[in-house]
Amino acid sequence: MRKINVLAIVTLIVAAGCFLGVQEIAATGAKEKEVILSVAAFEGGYGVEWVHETARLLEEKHPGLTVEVTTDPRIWEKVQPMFVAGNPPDVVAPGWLFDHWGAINEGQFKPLEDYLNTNAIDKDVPWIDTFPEGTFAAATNEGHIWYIPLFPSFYGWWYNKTVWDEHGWTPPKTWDEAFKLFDEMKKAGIGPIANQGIYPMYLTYPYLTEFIARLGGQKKMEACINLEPNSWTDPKVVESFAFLKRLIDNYFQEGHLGMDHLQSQAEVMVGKAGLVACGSWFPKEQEQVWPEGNVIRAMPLPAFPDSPFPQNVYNKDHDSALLWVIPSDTKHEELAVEFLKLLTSEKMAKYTVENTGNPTTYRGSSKWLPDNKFGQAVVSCTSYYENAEYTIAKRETIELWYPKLETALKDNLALMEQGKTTPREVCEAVQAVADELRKDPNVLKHVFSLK
Amino acid sequence: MNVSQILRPSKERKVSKNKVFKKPNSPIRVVVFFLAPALIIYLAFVMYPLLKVFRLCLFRWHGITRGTEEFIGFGNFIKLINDEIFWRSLANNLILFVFVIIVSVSVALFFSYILARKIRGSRFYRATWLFPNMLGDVIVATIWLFIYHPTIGMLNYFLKLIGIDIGAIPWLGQASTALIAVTMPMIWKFSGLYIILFLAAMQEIPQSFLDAARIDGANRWQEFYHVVLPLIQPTIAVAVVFLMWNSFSVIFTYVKLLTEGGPHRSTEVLPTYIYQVGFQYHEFGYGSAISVAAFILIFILAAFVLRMLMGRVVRGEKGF
Repeated sequence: MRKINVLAIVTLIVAAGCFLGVQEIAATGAKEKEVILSVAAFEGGYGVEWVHETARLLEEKHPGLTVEVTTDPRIWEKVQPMFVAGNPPDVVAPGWLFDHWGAINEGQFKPLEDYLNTNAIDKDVPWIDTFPEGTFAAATNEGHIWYIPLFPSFYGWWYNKTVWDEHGWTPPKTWDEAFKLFDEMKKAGIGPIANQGIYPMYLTYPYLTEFIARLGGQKKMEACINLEPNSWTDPKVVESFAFLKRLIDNYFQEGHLGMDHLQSQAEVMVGKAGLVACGSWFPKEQEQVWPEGNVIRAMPLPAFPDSPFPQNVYNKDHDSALLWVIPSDTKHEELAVEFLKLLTSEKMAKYTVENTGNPTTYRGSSKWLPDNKFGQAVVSCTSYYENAEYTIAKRETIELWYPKLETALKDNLALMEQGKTTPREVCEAVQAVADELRKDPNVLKHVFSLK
Repeated sequence: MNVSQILRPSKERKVSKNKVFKKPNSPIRVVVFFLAPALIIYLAFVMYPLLKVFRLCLFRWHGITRGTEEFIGFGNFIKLINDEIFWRSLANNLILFVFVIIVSVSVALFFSYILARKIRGSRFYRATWLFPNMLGDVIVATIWLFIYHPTIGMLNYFLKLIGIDIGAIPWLGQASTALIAVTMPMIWKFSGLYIILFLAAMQEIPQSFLDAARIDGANRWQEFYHVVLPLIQPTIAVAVVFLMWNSFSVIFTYVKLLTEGGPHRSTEVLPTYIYQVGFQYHEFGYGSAISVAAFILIFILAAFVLRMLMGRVVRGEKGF
């Protein structure tokens, strides 16, 4: 009886092995003709339909090609172990918490400048010329371009024009005009400025960066980004922090410290607050609380007329969640490049702009913004950038290059908001971290000039 | 046969024991057979990464490229000793632990004692209390985000309604209230389960004990403190252990969703700080060192609490 049992088990194992072996052979045979391109991307506010559409177009162009798309709101947690194992996706947008520059420093990405100088997919011009000038400024280090940004972010003050029209309010051009307007808002029982108090980093764009550039000039802003000694403690930078503090103390909506981004932004939509600083993702993000028939618009921050420096400077960067890279260990380099060319082509740019309601980095893509409430709201924001003297890419530089500096800013601004520290003390604390980073040989340094 | 011979296990007995294991249908074999898959998964996905963390804490590593680890000995631990945020996170963690446990157990004891007296509508109250426990942590946190909303939140509205008009208090946005505010959703969620648990334990108490106490002239408080509480102590001990585990496992979700560790680290806890060091600063070696330190400290604390509570239960001691 026992021998029979043993025999049965052995037979089962052999049979299973044979079955699996045959399957493997069959699969290998089938795969001989099939090529799989793996694509991984962050899934966030812009959705992922455009990634799937690009995959579909590429598959259509190459019969036998399968594009496997993986998307996730925390995609970095998935792709990071793949990089460690030496088996990353063929092309990837690893998300805003991935250490892009650490990976670049360790040779994990392919430099892209040679490909960018080849022809675009649907035009007889170099691929790089299909992007607006300055697109790759923050993506370049030591002459190499390391990633392709897809969504530019524009910033400003967002307001409910319908509510403003009812009160007869118009966008202020200078800060003096703004202060008068804020007093009127207070009288009308409206908190002038809503703020994403739970997330103090919102105070850095557009407020702080534009204050520093407008009060201190381009060189002062560059010095701060480039971690230069005494840059953050410069009197003009301290003045910028102090001006922000004045706004917080006098004009920020009561209770703003306890609101997150959605709650504070909704205050503007429903007319309980006058305006809120945010990026061009604002209209789509507020879709659920958009009052029927209301018009939402953006305006630039007011000017400091007494400053000798240009006032038409704005923060503009690229969504750090969707910076596309080609890993050095990609198995299908040519196809990966083709995927990116297709993703940033005219055809896909039009599709993406129409579907997401946001411009892409394709040159002139704003013209495809849909003629609806979302598109028109975004157009009101992008329009004032057309005459910009230069733009500041705060999130793509400070946030991605020096996360500790970002945290120092965030933590100390939170203290300043609560009146527990002075603007000068904040600047000193941030400068101390900047000095530490500058001296740390393990931190990759960047030299940035604003254009 | 002398005594030593009697006490020494006989060869025959040993052989028979081995035989039991070698038997084709031996229950031990079956147990091993069924345990093996779970054990393999546990070793591969829990123990191996855990051991890996113990190794990694001695290196500097960005966590992206294999082979770029730089051995720095106890450098990460030296850094940790001087890391103010680590100590602050640990302190916040302990405050949260203690507060959640004390308040949850107290609330659960109070309401279970009331419900045990078979008041009108007690079934409804039982179900209502248990309801938050059925919700996911993300849902609970989101509900409380709206309760704490400074201008339209229920809490500020309620305070105003009862005559306490102190303006639009940003409960989650000011350091003085944020830490306690983060614990409330957890307490709200956990209490219901422990009310049911304590209620079941209280219903096991023989009626004669309570009658005897009343005959002796005990009032409600004395009855609760001197009769009920000592008799349900084993259940309370188990609840405290569960709460310790629950608080630590869900704390990340609540802090991340409600405050992101802010304002200015006033609600930073170890799990959120470890995540930040690992995934935002990309210092996986240092993140591992914090994890190891946290593991050791919390292990010691948990062992102490367990020994204190469960030890008494095992020994059959009563009373607090």
